[in-house]
Amino acid sequence: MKNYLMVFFTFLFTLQAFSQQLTGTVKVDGEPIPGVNIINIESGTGTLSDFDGNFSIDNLSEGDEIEFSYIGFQTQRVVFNGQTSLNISLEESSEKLEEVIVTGYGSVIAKNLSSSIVRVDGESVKNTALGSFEQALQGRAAGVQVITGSGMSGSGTKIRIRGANSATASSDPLYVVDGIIMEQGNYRSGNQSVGFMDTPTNILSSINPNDIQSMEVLKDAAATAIYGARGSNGVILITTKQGQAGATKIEATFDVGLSEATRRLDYVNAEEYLMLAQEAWYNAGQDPTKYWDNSGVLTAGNTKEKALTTDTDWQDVALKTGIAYRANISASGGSEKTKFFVSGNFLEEESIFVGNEYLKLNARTNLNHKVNDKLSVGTNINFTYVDNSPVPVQNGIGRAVNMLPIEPVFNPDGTYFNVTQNPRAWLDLYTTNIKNRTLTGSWYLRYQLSDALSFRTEFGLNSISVDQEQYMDRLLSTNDLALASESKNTINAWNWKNLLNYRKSFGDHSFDVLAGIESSKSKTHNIGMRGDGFASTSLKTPQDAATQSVSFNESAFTYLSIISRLNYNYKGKYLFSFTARRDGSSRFGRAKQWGTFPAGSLGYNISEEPFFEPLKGVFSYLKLKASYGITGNAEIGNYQNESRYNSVQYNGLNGISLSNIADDQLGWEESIQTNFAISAELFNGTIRADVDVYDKLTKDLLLPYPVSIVSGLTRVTTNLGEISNKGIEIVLGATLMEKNDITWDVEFQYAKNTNEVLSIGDNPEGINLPGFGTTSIYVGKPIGIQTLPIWSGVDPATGQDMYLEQSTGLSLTETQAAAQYGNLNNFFSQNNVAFGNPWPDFTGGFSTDFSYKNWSISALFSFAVGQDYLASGENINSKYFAASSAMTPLRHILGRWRSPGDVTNIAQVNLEPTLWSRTSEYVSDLDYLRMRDFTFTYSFNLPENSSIKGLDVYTKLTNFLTWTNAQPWMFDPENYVRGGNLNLMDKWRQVPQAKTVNIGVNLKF
Amino acid sequence: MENIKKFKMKRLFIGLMTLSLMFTSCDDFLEEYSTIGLSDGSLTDLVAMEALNAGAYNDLRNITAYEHVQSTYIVRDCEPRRNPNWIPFFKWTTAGIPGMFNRYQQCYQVFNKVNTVLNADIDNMYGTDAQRAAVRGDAYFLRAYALFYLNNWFTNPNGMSVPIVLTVLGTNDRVTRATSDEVKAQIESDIEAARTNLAISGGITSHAAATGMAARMYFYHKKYNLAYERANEVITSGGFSLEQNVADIYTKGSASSEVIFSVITDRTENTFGSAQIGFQNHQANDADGVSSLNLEGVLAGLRTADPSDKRFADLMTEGDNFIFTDGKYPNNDVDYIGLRLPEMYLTRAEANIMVNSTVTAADVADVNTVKNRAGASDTVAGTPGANDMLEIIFNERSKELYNETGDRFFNTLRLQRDIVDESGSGTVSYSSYRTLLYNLIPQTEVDIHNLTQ
Repeated sequence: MKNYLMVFFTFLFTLQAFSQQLTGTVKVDGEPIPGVNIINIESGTGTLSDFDGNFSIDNLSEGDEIEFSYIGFQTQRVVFNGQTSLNISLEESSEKLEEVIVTGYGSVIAKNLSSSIVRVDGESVKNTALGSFEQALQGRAAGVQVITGSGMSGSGTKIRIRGANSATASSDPLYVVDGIIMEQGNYRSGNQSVGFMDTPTNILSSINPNDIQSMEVLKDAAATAIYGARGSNGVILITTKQGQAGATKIEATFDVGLSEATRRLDYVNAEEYLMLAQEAWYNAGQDPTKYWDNSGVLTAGNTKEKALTTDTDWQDVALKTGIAYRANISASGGSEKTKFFVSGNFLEEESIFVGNEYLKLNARTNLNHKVNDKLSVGTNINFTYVDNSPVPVQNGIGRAVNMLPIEPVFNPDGTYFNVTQNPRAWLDLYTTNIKNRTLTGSWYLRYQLSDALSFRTEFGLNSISVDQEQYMDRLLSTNDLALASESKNTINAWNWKNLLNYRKSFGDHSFDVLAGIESSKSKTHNIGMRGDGFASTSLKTPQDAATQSVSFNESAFTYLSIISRLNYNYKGKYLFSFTARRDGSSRFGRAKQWGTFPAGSLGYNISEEPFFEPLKGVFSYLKLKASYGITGNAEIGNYQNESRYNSVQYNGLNGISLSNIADDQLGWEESIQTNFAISAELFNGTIRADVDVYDKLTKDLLLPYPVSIVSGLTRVTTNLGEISNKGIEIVLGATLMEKNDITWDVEFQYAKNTNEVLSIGDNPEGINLPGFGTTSIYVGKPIGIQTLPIWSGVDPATGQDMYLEQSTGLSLTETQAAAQYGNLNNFFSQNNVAFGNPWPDFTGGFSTDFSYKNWSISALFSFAVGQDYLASGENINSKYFAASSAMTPLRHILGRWRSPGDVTNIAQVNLEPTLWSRTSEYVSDLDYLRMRDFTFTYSFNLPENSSIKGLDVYTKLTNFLTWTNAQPWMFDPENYVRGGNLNLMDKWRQVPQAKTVNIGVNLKF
Repeated sequence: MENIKKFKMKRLFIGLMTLSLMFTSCDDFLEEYSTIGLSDGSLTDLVAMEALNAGAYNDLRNITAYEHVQSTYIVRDCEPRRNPNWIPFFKWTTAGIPGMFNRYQQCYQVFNKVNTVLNADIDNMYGTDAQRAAVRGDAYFLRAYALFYLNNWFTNPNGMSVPIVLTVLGTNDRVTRATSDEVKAQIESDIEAARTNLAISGGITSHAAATGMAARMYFYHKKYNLAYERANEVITSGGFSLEQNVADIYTKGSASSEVIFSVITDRTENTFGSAQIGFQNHQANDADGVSSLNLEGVLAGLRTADPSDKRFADLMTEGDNFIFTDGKYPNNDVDYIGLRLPEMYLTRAEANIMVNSTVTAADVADVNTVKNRAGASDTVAGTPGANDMLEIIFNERSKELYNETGDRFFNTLRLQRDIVDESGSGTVSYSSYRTLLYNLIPQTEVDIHNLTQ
């Protein structure tokens, strides 16, 4: 027995001698850090550091290599030489390859990424003077086309990631803030609004740019398939800042900015106008002596004497210098158990539009707490209040261009001149106010079921309330009745997800498996009330009106989803990812309610191969990536699968009218995308390059399909048609200098996308939808074009505009066309051709960050080349019109045709009828290069014992310089045309953009 | 203690996961139907039937919006200025009035609604027989009205009219053009069915309005016996009386004692309609009123002959350079007047003459009733010959119904009369304008149904 015991103890001793144990602590900045992956490279066994950063790993043999890795930190390797304890301090990684990339429902380090995701650091949107954070993506993320809204406070943004996939469905990307899918678009104005509105208030502007840690743009199918039926337009993930353990950090920024329109239009002055008008009168064969009496130039009581002494620039009535004040304060910190980030943001702005005032208040709390080493809970809550008084564009600048320079703003008695047309009167007497409150919150609970397996449940909320008031004074009304409206709109959306995540490495094999279920619902309510006619101008709310009308609407949609993803890599060299999401939605037809969206990607870190070693002197890093997958676009609207009747009224009776015919096969649009990419770093990361090539085919396009009116409708919307987007994206970055006190980085982004409609089902060669402008979809052309008659210049003999007759190829003058076709409109309707391309040939940006000692300069230039634009509102200012429909012409028409033989592009001025038709004359091929951002910062040196840890002053220029070939009738070359993808070249009235200069101070405590 | 905690925690997770699985596996969650408005499954009661009819009456606002303007321009009573859409028809070289304003579509939207009503199981819907009759009466009336409208404008020179649709059709159903005679038979059948039902109970439209409209339909269809009977019924019903002051008719609209049928304008419900178009075009100033009297036209001649006639003196305004008919559309909030008592008098008189080929004292009295109210200086004395009397009635209709319902054009077509030409001194013959002046069926419909224009 004794012998046995001896043998046993000897065995134990031997074991102890040959398989040794190592214990220790992993820290960052002196603070212990849990969850660090500790692997014995030789044996493949491993462990994780615990809550206090402690670890214990056994079965070690001397000479074993132990790896300590943690996302976002530089991996360290230590050779085990028999020591029993070891303290490791991890350094934060500054390498791009080690950056943590948020992927949606998880994250991965850049090096192990096999799909196409661009990360934009939150620093690039910090203190932005732009209306909303997503506008700062312009020029910073290749393949992301950002079209900024107007200079109106809180205006919208239009983003297309890798082109437009749809015709009638939305092509806006999905925005996900800290895991919560955001409602997006514009705050809806009430159904009872009085008058034609153009008052976008961007929901996304409720996010404080200074709260943003990073933005990830998911581009290829492998990246977006995790969002399944909502992924095909691309996804923008916004991650907000979280507190870090340690001393509390307080940061405050105060900023003031001045803004101006980027450009004003150059109209003729009063003298030039009268010269043109009298010339037109003369050209029409009228008696010059009767000009003042008979031409109709004197309207609304204007007199010859007044006309000759007045010279009004009506743009001055609608535009001014804007001013904005911003303040931002944040505090972050916490203990190892509880971390917090709290911020507050204030913005008060008077924009470049007279009458436009805007106030935004924003508060955020991000909180994380570890209950114990298994359980953690947390929340992100954001609340935003906006008090916005927008100016409907039709009332201000839109009207300004219709008044004549010979007309005064006020009559001598102080009343408005021509009150129903006068923009000053509209700006004074028509008011709109929108107040909105946005609450975005998420609450999570995470439980570590085992070392590798964790469970997370998260509930998210997005609640938006919009109150809108409008009042139009009776002076503006054609029936002498003042109008008032009030509307209340709410959007309440929630989602709940339950996720299981298994992360484990077995030797060289690393797995990250995600499985989960998610449900979500969004419901919109809209209540409106309108009143007509008031007993006094002091009464301005609908309940005081003589007559009232009310409206109510509600709408909802739901999603149910099953989510799965497998990320695998072998030795960090071979990367594989497979994602599949199954989505069901109430939006889809009852017979086609579920769809599955799979995608896979492969990555090959070829520079990790031994055979690559000789090349590493140049190519320090090289990765090849390929992906393929299917995603969907479910933005097809609610209840599109039902037969629907619109509500109408007849003499106080409820009426209905068929508006949609049921289609139980109606489904999502499906995009199939292939992506190939190369990522490389040269000379140890001094030069970086990413090239992506993609081919995206979208089928089952929701298209209006012409049906016979005998069915009660002229068209129904159904799944047919295909669109292709193909392109290349190139990003080149370089660190030009990084020594002593100087760092200098540059980056160049370039993206080219070709959009083409491949099929429109059984429709004839093109679909033309009647309406405001002509909406056209043609096979072989990009989406969003128009059909237009082709203008072929001015006839030198007659001075008339000429247009191309399609059947003969001949150019006909207006007179010839009218004679042959009965009238000019007949000619136009029979000689329309598909024309133009609303999408740029290529877009991109160039950025540079330079710092020397305490000075730093960053600049961003963005560009877009080759976009066609049709200024259908402003074009009419490029013609002289008879006085009764007077418009002030732009100065370039002074180069008009005057006598036979004149070669010019501007027709003779005469008294011919107003030609409202859109023609190719007003299409311009548009390029621009814009200095989007220029920031100059000086950081003061502060004494070490100062309570202030940092003091920076900066000046920031936004949209300050623009080089463009934009035509004289355009306020700005970067024109926000309209939402959607149709009829894109055509905008009735362009709204100017702003350029701003900001000065600010940033304090850190 | 620790074990208890863990146990509870595990139970919590199991509970949460089960709950969420149950929740997400519940397909009802995806059954989200609109709670607002109606879908076809919910059109099961008389209220919905009434709503369909009301929706169709709202369509009439659009259908009737341009009729007066367009027909008046065609017969050249009025001149549009500065509007390239309204080039005088005699400059047209291709057949067909330019297709504008989607009126063909709007008429078929009416058919969709009223055919939904007329094919529904109304007998088994809760309600009184009177309610059922009112619903059917309105639906038949609307179908007759829209079909009559289409037949007047869309019948081609070969006598082919529009497809007759009597059921609710799907997107794959196909139709063929009917002859104008077939369409007329359907119109007459429908308007009589409307009268039968509305006699039991009036709907949005009254029995008298259906009867008056029947008189007009038979009159245009040259069924003068029936035209006479229906016009006579309306006149003798005693339900209507002439306004003393002609301008009052147009300011009162549907409330006028002589208005038999009207389409109500209510700008809070629908800003578009005849009032808006009429007011826009006929305002009494050079800058806004783009329609002014054609000084070479028939009406201008009649005005010159009797300028004190209140239909000229009270309803027209002379501007600096032009003469405007601002009295019929005094603002953009007036009702569209679709049928008035004077038309019944003139229809009864003419129908009687057509039937009997002679003029009776009653016919003269009818015409003089209209003339006297207008303060016309040319009241008819004695009993003229039939042709003379018909000419008098033609001119009287021209004066009385100018710029209202299109009667000037359709009456000209019915009588195959010429239209004054560009110079004002000559005419364009019926045979030449008939090949030009009709609406073309929209090309998409022609393509889908393989129709012939």
